This record gives sequence, C-alpha cells and structure tokens, in this order.
Amino acid sequence: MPYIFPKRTLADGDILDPIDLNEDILPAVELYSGNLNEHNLRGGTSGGLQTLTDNSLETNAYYSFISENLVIDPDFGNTPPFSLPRRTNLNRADRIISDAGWSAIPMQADRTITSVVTTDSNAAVWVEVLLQYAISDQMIDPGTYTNTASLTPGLGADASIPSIVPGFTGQYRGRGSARIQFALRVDGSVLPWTITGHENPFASAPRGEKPSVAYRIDQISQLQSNAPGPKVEQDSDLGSLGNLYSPVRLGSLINVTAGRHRIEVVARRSTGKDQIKPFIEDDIISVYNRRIFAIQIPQIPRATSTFDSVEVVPFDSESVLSQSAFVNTVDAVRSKLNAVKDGALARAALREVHLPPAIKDTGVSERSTDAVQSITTIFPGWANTTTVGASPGWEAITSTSASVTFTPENAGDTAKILVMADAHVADLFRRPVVGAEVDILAAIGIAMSTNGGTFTVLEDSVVFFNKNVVAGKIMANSVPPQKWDRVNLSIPTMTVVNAPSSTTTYSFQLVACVVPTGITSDGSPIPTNTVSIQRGALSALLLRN
Amino acid sequence: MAGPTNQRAVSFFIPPGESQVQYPVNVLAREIQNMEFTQDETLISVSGPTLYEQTSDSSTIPAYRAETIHSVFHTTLSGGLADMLIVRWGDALYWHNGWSQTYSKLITFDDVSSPIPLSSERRPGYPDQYVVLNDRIIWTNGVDTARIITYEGASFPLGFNNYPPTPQAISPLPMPSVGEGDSLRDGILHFTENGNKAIARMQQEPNYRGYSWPGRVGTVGDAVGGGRGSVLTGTWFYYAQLEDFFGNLGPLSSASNPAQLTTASSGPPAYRVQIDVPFMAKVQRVFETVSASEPAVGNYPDQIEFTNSPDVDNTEIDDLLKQFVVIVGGETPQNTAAIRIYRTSDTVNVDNAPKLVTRIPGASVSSYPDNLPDAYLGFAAQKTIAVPIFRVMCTHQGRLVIGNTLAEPGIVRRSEPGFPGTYLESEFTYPDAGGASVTAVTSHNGVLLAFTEDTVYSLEDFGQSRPLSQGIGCVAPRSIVAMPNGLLVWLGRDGFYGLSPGGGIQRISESIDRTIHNYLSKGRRRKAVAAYNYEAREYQCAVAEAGSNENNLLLCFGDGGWRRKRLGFAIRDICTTRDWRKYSLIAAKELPGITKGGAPVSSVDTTNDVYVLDRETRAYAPPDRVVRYRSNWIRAEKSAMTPMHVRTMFIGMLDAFDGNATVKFYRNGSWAEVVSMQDLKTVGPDEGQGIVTDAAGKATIGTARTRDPRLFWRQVPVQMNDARIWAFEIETTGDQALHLAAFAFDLSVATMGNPNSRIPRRADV
Repeated sequence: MPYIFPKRTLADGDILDPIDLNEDILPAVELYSGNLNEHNLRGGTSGGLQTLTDNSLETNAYYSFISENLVIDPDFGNTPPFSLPRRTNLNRADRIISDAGWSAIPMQADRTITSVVTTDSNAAVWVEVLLQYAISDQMIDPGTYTNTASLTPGLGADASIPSIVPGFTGQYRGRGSARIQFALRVDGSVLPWTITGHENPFASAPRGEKPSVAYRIDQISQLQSNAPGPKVEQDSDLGSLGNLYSPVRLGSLINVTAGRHRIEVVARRSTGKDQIKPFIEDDIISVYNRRIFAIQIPQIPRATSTFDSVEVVPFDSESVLSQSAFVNTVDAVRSKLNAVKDGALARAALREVHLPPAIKDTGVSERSTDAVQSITTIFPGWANTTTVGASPGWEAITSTSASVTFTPENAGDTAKILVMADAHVADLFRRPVVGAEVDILAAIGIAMSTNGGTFTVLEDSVVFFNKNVVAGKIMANSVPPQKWDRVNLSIPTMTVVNAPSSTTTYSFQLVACVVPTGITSDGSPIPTNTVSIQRGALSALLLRN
Repeated sequence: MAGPTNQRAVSFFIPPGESQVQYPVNVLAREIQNMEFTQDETLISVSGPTLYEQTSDSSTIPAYRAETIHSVFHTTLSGGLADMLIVRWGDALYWHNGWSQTYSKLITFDDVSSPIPLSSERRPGYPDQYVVLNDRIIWTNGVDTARIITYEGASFPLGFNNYPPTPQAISPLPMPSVGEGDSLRDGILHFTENGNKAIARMQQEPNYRGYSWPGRVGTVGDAVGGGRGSVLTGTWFYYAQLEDFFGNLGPLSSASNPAQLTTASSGPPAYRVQIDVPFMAKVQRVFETVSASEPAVGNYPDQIEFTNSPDVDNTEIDDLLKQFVVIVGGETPQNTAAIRIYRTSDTVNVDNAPKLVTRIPGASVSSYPDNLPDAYLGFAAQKTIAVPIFRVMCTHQGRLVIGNTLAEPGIVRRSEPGFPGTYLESEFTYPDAGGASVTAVTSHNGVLLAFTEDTVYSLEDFGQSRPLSQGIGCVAPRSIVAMPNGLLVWLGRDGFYGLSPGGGIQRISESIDRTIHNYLSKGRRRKAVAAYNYEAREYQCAVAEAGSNENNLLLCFGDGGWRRKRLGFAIRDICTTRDWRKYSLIAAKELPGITKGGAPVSSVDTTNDVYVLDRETRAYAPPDRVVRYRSNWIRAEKSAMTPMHVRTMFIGMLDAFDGNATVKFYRNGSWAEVVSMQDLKTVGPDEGQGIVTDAAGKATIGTARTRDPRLFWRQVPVQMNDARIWAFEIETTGDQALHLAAFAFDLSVATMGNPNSRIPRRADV
C-alpha cells in the first residue's frame, strides 16, 4: 500500500461529519495493518533500515547456505617427475559408474550421502558445483609409446599398472574424449540445461575451425586412413567432455517449493561412438576435489513475524470527540506508525533500497589482455603451501587478484566468501621432448592472503587438466616436436571461505603451475612445460552469513 | 436560448403552485460544476486535488516538474507485491520511488547510459497508453517503440522491431573449374604448394573444398555409381530469430547463403585410376622454416612428406556426410537474450521449411557447428514479424492486441498468448472493409472490439469482423472505460456512447449535447483521457474545451447524469490506482491564469506532476475553483408562454459547512442576473442539536460530538415576476463545502389578464 491522503483537510466551519473523520483515519488504520509497502518506508543511503546489523536480522532472512566439499589429493607426488592422478585417496564411490546411466556423486567424507537436502520453504536456490575428474591411469596404452628414451612412466608404484616400456607416445587406449557428462538432479529429475556437453552425448564434434591453407589439414589430421577428403581431427564423442583431466563447474538457479528437496550432482559416461563401442574395463573416470555450494534465497517464505495491526472504533453519529476518543483513534494510529513493527509490513515491502546489502563486499578482477602469460613454475606438491611466486611453486596469473574486507557488525558475526575464477588457457605444451603429450598437465588454483600476508593456495580450489587430446596433436615427425594449435581451454575453479568474526581483508589470487608427469628420469633434463594463460577472471562475494 | 430546438434538452416543466413536489438535484440540473453525486443522490462539492508526491524538501522543486508531463499509470505487479506508479515526463518514463520520495527514470535496458529519447510533443496525436500483460506493463504512444516495464523499474523494447542479422553458412564449396585453382585457396592445397595441380585435385573428394568436416548432414542416395551409394547434391539455408528476455520472438532473418554439398560417391576411384598417386606420395612440400618458439599462424615446421600413400578406397557413406557451421554476426539489439537458429532440410531433395537447430543464449553466435541430420531438426519456425509502431492496444485473452500501425492504419494484430512482443505474420485482420484507421481496440465482456471513427466492430471471431453499429465510432482510444455496472463508455464523434452488457449501444450524452457540439475542442478529442472514479462513482473524461489546447474540463457521468469539473488543471492523463485505495490520479499541470487564495499564480511552468483527485493535504493548495449548481430553464407549461411569478424557492441541503453560498436567478432565457443573494447559509439552524455549534473551529474537545449531517430546508424569497422561463444558480468556492439535496418552489401564474397577452408583440423592442 503506497501513499494515502485525507479526504478533506478539516477547516473551520466544517461540520464534524463522522464519515469524513473516518475517511481520514481508517485508511491509516488499514495502512498500518499489513499494508505498509516499499513506498511507505524510507530507503536509499539515508540510513534507516540499511543500518540494521546481523543481530537485527532474522536468521536466514536473506538466504541460507548449503555447503559440502571434499578435498582429495591426486597423489601426484611432491617433486617431478609427477605421477598422473592416482587412486590412492579415492574411495570406490568416487568412481563414475560406466553404465551410461546417471549416478550421484558423494559430497561428504563418508561417501554415504550423495546429495544435498534442503528443507526450507519456497525458495530460489542458486547452486554452484565444482568437480575435478580424471581418467584412470590404466588408460594409458604402453604399447604405443614410441619414445626411445628410458622412461619412468610417472604412474607411481601402482602394481596394477602394467610396466611401461620405452616407446611411449602418449596415445590413449580409449582415445577421444573422457565421454563424461555432469548435471544437477533435483528430486530425481535431471535438469536438462545443466548437462555438460551436448544434449546428444554421441554427437560428433570436431573442432569448429575451418581448415585453410594457413591451417593445414595434414598437420592436424588423425582421421582414419581410409576416409577420403580432408584428413581432419575429429572425435566422435565430444558431445561430452573432451579432456581426460579437467575440472567442471556447473550451476543453476532452481525454484523449489516448500518441503524437502534432494539436490544432487550426477554424472554419466557415454559409450563410444554412436553407442556401438562397449566400455573398456579400465576406462574409469573418478572424481577428486568436489564442492557444492548452494544459496537458498527465500521467495515467499513462511511468515515468521507476528502480525501487527491497529484497530479503532470508527466515529459514528453522536460520538463524543473526547481526549480518549482521539487517543483511541488518531493517537493509536500515530503511535503505531511511529514504531512500525515487522508484522505490519506487507510482503515484499522491503526491497534492496531499504535493507543492508546481502552481499557485504565484492571484489572483481579480470585479465583481459591478448598477451599470453607463460607459466613454467612447477607444482610444489599437494600440501605444500609454497609462497606464490616461488619456484617450484605457483605463479600468480597477472591481473586476477581481488580483495574483500569483512567487518563484523556484531560480536560473533561471521561471513562466507564465495570465490569463483576462470582461466583461459591458450595452450599447454612442452619442449623439447618427442611425443609424450600425455604427460602434460597443469593446475590452477586460488591463493588467499589475509590482511596483506602471504598468499597460500587453497587446496579445495586446486584443479588440474591436460591438454585437450583432440586439439593438441603432436607433429609426430616434426623436429623439434611441437604442438601448434592452441587448446583454448576455459578452466574453472571455485572456493568458499568461512570468514571468522574479526575484521579482516581477504585477498584472492588466481594462480597456476605446470605438473610435469611421466617424464624421463634417466638424467635427461626436465623438459620445459609451459601453460599459457591468456585471459582470466576472479570474483569474490562476501556474503552475509 | 429557449428556442424550440433546445427546449427538450435544456428546460424542465414545473407546474405552478406551492411546493408540493420536491425535485431532486439531478432532475433540474443544467450544469453541475465541481460537485459529485453521493450515494444518497445528493450533490456535494469536491475536495482536492493534492500532489501525490509532496517531496521531503518543499523548498526544492524537483527537476521533473519542469518537464512536460504526458501520462500516468498505476498497477501492482508480482501478485500485488510490487506497487508501480509509472509517469512519463518529457522524453522519458519514470517510476515512483516512495522510499526516496521522488520519481526516478526507468532504466532503459537497451541503452542504459544514453537512452533513446521518447517523443515529447503535445500535438493532438494519440495519447500514451498502458496495459498490463503477463505481470508486466506495456507502454506505447504511437510514435516510439513500445516498451515493456518490469517491477524492477527497468524498461525494454517490446520485442524486436527489425530483422536479425542474416546468418552466414559455411560449408563445403563446389570444386573450382579448371583454371581457377590459382585463386581459390579455401582449404585446398594450392598446386604450387603441392607441386602438381592435378594431384592436388585428385587427392580431394568433391566436397573437400571449403569447410569440410565429417558429419551427419547430407541426403544419401544412389544417383551415382548404380549399386553404390552417394551423397546427393543438396543445398541448405539457415535462418536466425532473436528472442528477448521475455521470450518474445522477432522476425525470421532472411535466408543465409546456401550451405551445399556436391554429389559424392561412396566408391571413389581406385588406386589404379589415380595415376598420379605414386607420384603424390613422393611429393615433398616445402614450408617456411620456423624456430621452436611459440607457434604462430603462418609458421610451419621445416618439412613434411607423405610417408604413406593416401588410401582413399573403402569409403563408406557415413564418411561422406558433412557438417556445417553457421555464424550470426553483426549487431543485435541489447534486449537479445538468445538466438534461435533454424535450418531447412535439403532444399533440393527434401523440403524448404526452416526448422529449429538450436537456441543459443547470448546476443551473437560466433560459430555454431551444425551436425544435425535433416531428420533431427526441431519444430518448424513460426513466421513472425517485427513489432510495428502501433497507436492503439489492449489485452484480450492473454494476448496483446495492437492496431493502427504506422504502415497499416486499418490493421489489427494480436500477439501470441503471453508474449506481447511476438506476432505471427498471419495473425491480423482489417476490421473495416476499406481499411479505415483503427482508432481504438478494447476487450469487453469477453469480446474484442475494434473501433474506427464511425463504426464499432466485434472481433469475436478474430478473422471476421462484424459491425456492431455503423455510424457510431470512437475518436479517443483513452476515453474507453468499463463502468462497474458493465456499461462500456467511450467518446464518439458526436458524444459519449455506452455499450450495455446486453450488447446494445446507446448515446448517453444527449443531455450535454450542447456542450459537446459547441464547447469542446474538436481537434483534440483524440487526446481525451478517461477513467472511472471510485470516490465519485463516476466516469470522468478529461477533454479540451473549445479554444483550449489542454484537457481543462472533466466531463463526469454516473448516477444522476452528467456533471463537470473545472479544477484549474491541464489534465494530460488520468488513471485509477489498481489497489484497494482506488484513487484517481491525474498527470496534470496547473493552467495559466489560475488563482490560489484569490491571488494570481505567477508561473505554472513547474507544476507538471501527478495529483490525486478528491483528496486534500495541507502541503498543497489547489487552484481556486467555483462550485456551482445551475438549473435548467424552468417553465410552467410546455410552450413556455405562461408568465410566472417565482415567489419562493426552497433549497434542501445537508449540513456541510458553516458558511454562506450565493444563489442567483435568471429569467426568460438570459443569463443576466436578475436576483442574487449571497447569504444562503449552508448549514441549518442549530436548534440545540449542537451540529452547528460543534463545527470545526468552535467545537470543544470533550463535549463536541460528531453528527450526521441533517437534511434541512432554507427558503429563498425570489419574488421574480413575469418569468416565462427561469433558472437559478447556487455557487460557492472550493474552500467551502456545499451539499445540495433537493429543491421545491412556490410559483404562481401571473394572473393579470390573459397570460398569453404578456407575450411580446411583434414589434416590441
């Protein structure tokens, strides 16, 4: 209910008609009794409700959080040559079942709970999920490894892996894509728009680039030899995700009604081209780091405030205009309007101009230059919080640092910081070693510092990826061996930080490093691995807890 | 005045005699100004208006008040959660921000920083119009692009008013004819680089050149090679369609360039016929020498040679199918939320209907690899049109109905249900067979009505208009209002008409024909605006009086007939709040020449604002106004030849204000005052009831009581003789309340001689 106006201003000489008096008073009575709306309440920068602190806001009035995550060390080792991701710290439940059906990914340490349940009322739920997947190391086919160097395969001491013999070229047995898709599932129903990759997971998807004289077909051709025409690189399974190691971030805004709802992260494997290839026994995808973070925003929540109103007895003919009559009418309304209670407000009476912001602080940064930043620093080990910038260690991706400051409004106030970042990886390559594209991994992560201190990489944000096998074919016979086409990967990461109750400035930095795996250990110099970062972005939201 | 042609309309027969009969106020009225009809069928003077937003700082005049105000509209959105008061000042739309006690401009999403200004003119074109559809407000003024307004205070163009960029299809290209190889380098290796032109050709299949990637597109046939299959020559065309944030679809683009395939056989020539193959295997191609540094386009490794002969045999049909790429570049409007891409099937072998390939969120498609076989294409594209500029609109059955477009004044179109910005090419009609301009559209009683200036059409069957009445039309689209009793009222060329719930059309303004025909501006009737006033329980239509360029007169129709209000405002728009307040709001400006408190107002330039009718506050002093009740000419018998002595008039009133009113009398058709008294008390004698002694200003707290106004009579000694027709007028100012109930008269026929002998002789002067 917006503004109300009296029917007639009382002037000397006016007959004291009870209807006229009632017309002036009763709208105000109705206004106060659950009809006060946004136009009746001062907003903007002038203070008022905007100065409310956490203590004055009902718990979960703005939103509530659902947060689950698991940090799993892929057991690369601490020094190069690193192993490919191993299953040392995995649980069987971390495997994606290779049966082409959707299966839920456990989000908690005991792996028994595979879902997130919300029991709140009608709400919009913003879900963000970060997953790191990796193909089984058994998928490396030793038979095609043609390098003449004596190799330590980088597979560690996993006895189940056949020994690697010289001649390793880095061809995967299940060559092609990881053939995996992720999605959100709500109450058993997969949300189609959250499915990663194509709707049809069997869609053939060669890169959408046009071959030309400048971009010679033969240099990227891996087409089966009996096909006529251009020898193009194609992968029949790129309807799903391509990289064999990659993080995935997906999210959606979901409207849910009051009640219990099961929100799950699910994954499925697709078989080979056109469903005609069976799953290979060793073709296993497992999930490593994972996080689900949901913000549940009440839309039309259950009313928890007590309805507040004012009631008056309307004037009638021969009503005495006594002091008590005015106390019971005009004064009663005046008193109420001078001390408005929450139960007197209409739904949605308080909008963004009235309330303290739900997001207390934001920090955004973007690296938008076309110049490539080549990072060659080497992974320092999973748990090693090496200062960013050291070598081996993590290197900061320039212009991707942002800060937020948390100032508790009341003793005991805490906050959550949601940090999301993306790096555009132009390329990932090594030289000067023949072949061995399988060995090229890189990682990105989010490093944090407090109050200007040392940046430490947050383990839960560390994700790794390989060069897209389709895009990054090697010129097998070229000397020196090079990979000429850029991979142009968009690598996401995310973290959530609990800000304790103290005034603190949190700074976040997107960082990257290379993870040389499976390289020679025969005394050959470690080849230069490079991850080329072109663009990047990082945003941090300091959320009212 | 009292000529025979006017007698029926403007005079009233009262037989002589003593006051045995009381005449209700509405019966005798000729002109009721600034009074409203009450539930008790009495007339009471109006109060107000007042400013809607009185601002917290009265010393500072908000900038918007100096802008020309055009329109006002109120509704609630989001199920009543969002209270929206939209106002147009000058070239922009504003919304009321009660939380900051001001109005702010709506965010124009198509260009936030420098929005395209709206037309701000006061020429007598079509007025602003607003409707609500699908929880959003739609605005048009007949000149600018219509807009959608959301509860967040943002406005967007209504759909798309132009065509999307033409998609660019990229596909295999036809093989060059002999001799063209020198200049065609789309994917083929030039013979100078291959060393042998013939070999360069021979290593290719027919669809090698251009964008040539294996895929699933193509029509498989057996036209070539007899027993072996082939991909047939075919062409495909792409179309793009823009989708806005509300799901509205723009028109289909023009067709792309063709994506094409040439017939290719699954059985290519065997080795033995590729006479140059052995040679080809030996060809060594020399490329630029580059370092081992970062690869760059145009740089290549030292040398590459074929180590194996190409094997082009054993080709399967699946190897010959291709995929295409489509690009939708160019500039798309800011309200583009997604692009739908359509593609025909193989137009040579299948059909040519565009069907959905995909919907891609975003405002452009840098490249989309299309690998859908014809059979996998989605639903057929609907042939939609660009949203035209339109002058009239209404909602009907969940659709936005628009009429009178710039290019086709006689057309009526309807949107898709729930999507006010999506118009199918085929969803239109011309209500008038000759294409007369559609002056209004409205939905009433479940029937869509379209008006021209002289006809009302029913579009109950959208494609087949049916005239409800010919000769009766509508000249003012904003004059159409449905009354609570189901009567639909509008302004026609020659007066106001009403369409009853039963379907009958009747003229309802006969009693004010004289005003309508002679005292209203004819050139500005299009700008008339109307709304139903729930406070006064009357239809109120703001019109311009003759000689005025502003809607300075409110003609009001309800129980008791017609009344008028002159409030001292130029009323550009009027609306009723769509909430429980049911206020009548006007977008108005004070008229030049008004007075306030008896003093002239120096300037009214900064009074463009929203005002609330029938409400008063101390923060705003409305222009002085005259409250007047003027009777019709009254006669003693039908021919008005009998002279009367008007001895006494009895005025029945209800207590309203302890003050005086003026009563005047006129005689024999002249509005020259004959008798006048200024001491008509507007309250009755107190008689110990306390109603007068307890009036405001005299009442004592603790003892004073509220009291229902009494009906009382006061007699006015007129003593006006020899009046064949006569009239009276009761007048007061807006500061004083006046509440009239009835009249009675003490009349006598002039008895000296034959009454008719007093009729002037032929040569009397």
